[in-house]
Amino acid sequence: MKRARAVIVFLLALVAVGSYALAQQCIQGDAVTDLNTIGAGGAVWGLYVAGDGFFASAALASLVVACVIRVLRLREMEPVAWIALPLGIAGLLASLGCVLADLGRPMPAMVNLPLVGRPRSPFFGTFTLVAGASLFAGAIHLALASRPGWAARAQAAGRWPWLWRTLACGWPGTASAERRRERVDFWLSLAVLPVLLGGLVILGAVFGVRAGRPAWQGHFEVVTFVVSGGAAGCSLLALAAHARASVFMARMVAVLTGLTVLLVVSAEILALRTPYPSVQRYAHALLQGPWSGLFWTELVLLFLAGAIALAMSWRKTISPVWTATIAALLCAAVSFQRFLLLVAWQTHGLGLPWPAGAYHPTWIEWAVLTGVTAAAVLAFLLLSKTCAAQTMRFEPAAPAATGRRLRSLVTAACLVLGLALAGVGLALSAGFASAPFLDPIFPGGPLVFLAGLFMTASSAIAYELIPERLR
Amino acid sequence: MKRDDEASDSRRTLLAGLAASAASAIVGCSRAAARSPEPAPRGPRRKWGLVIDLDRCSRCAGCVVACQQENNVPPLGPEAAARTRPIHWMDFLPPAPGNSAATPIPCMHCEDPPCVKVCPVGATYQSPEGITAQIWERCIGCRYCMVACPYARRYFNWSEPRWPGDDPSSLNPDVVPRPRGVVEKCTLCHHRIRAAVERARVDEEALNDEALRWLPACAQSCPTRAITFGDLADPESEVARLAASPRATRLLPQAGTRPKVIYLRETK
Repeated sequence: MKRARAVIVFLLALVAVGSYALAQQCIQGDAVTDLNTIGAGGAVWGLYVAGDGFFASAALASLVVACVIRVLRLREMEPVAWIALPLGIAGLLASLGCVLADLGRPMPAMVNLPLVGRPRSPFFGTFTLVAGASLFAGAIHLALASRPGWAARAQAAGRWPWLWRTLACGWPGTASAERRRERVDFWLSLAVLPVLLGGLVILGAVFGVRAGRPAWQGHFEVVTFVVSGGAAGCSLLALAAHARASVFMARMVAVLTGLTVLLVVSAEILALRTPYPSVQRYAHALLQGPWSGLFWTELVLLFLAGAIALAMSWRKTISPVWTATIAALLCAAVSFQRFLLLVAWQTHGLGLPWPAGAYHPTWIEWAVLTGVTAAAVLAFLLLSKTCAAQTMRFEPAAPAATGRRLRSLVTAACLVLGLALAGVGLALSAGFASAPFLDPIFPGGPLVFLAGLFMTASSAIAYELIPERLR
Repeated sequence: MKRDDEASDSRRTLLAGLAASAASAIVGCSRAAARSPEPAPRGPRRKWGLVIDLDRCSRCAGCVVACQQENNVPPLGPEAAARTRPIHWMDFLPPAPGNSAATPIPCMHCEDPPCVKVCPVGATYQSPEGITAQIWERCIGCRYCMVACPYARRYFNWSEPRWPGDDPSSLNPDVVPRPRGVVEKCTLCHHRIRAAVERARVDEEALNDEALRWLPACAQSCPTRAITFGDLADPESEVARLAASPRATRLLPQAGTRPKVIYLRETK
């Protein structure tokens, strides 16, 4: 207990340091970072965006794993799916924090993005699908799945029974409610899966695809981004689910890490043999230039993590220490990979002969990133402590009669209205029926799109919460 | 029966009235909401472009200074200089290996601009006349356009702009100074073009090529007349004639952006 408190105090201290650094950045402007103009020897996207790429991809990957487990109804993997939800939500919150820290004008961004956001920009996908829909759907999924646990806590003699009773939203604990719970898990996971995968690919495109670069390189980097994100997400899941982590998870980590190594090495070889001078400069900067230290460290870490995961799956024994080692190695390697993907290209891979640049994050950038990471760990601890507890068994009071009609009607209405709103919102944001250089006919299209996505996800709430008995 | 017909007629009238008022409301709203950053052009569509003759250019950097002065670009202070965070809408690209001289390089005002595609809030847009413009007020400072531009022709305001003596009276009143946290770029001296177009409209005269040729500050200040501005869509214009010359070349054609800034040089 004392150790847990010490950890929380330490994390809170890190959050405080991060907040102080962020306040400095808000007061003095982005000049306090080491970010710089592209072409004038710098990088305009640095540590914050690399952090966003790491957190968001690992979070989305862990949510994808949870959805796959629920869709395939893998009962023995259920604890992993449980822990994936708080992990995914905490990761997405951290990625949101990184993006907000990176924006030059975060306050106008919060107004302008929902009002005049443009779907043709990949950024639209990241704030609607990744930060909006995935986060909201993940939170709904977690809240609904936690109801039985909360109801059991309310029933048990403990602290704050009123809170658990409120959160449980009248969980009846009947067999039909259990069946409905399973159905919601299945359909929600199935519906969210394309959103998560779409978000992951769009993020990869933000990192990999650039005008003037050969298409093969961009596509290669999108695939590497997705696969390495999957490896990091799975390793974190295996760590969070510790004793319950299966050999299957270790195998998955080994395969994804091996694939990442293969992709990184192949991309480097292809870049060296390409006729484009800018791509060759970039490849040389990674291999023997100023970024070689990070590049080789990334490869060594990936190799080590893959080897340990392979050994664990071979011996079929899961050791918590080795699981933690794999997660640490992979997270570091994938963070380096995101950093190199962004920064090395900006300093050494430009198409025109601008001078080569450098980027060394300042203490403010490191402090903000550390604060965001600490806040994410705190959010994960809070969520996993309050939501992912299903050890107690809830005893139903009495069997209830069923009244399906109202529930089905409201759920269907939610679903149809949500999808319609999402469609209308997307069309409005895309500037349907207005010239390309004009604003959309009605502002607020992205907001309508997001509301539609939220309403679609909320149909799961309607299906689960509308009472069985009609009064 | 008659009563039924009357009822149906009045219902029809009511519905028609409702539909008409809804339609007029939608049209009204759309007119109010669709704030056009650029009025739709009347007459034939223009395509503004710039031709830079590298064989004439003396690399005096007069264009760079004139651009800074005209567009209220803050001078580089000692702090920004130490951190190499300059803002030069017109700059010089260092010579490539095998090339002898630097190249003056403004925004390319591409026909297919990648910066416009990636802007998440439509802060950068392409006007009907082909100028890639920026609405400073709307920019959220994500810098995606800077990452997307293959020519590195966009600048971010890392700190609050400052002028010597903090004296705003030296600023050009036609150009709004940009605040901290937004991206800025060359506008082809859009304010001058608009003034010229407006003058021609008031005087009921056609915009003549001679009046346009030295319109942007960079072209006006060039002592060797190496920079020519004009309407690329008009085959009679000087700029279109130069663009069709065998000496014409564009930067990074492989990027597929189709720049409207064209360079002339003897050896391609």
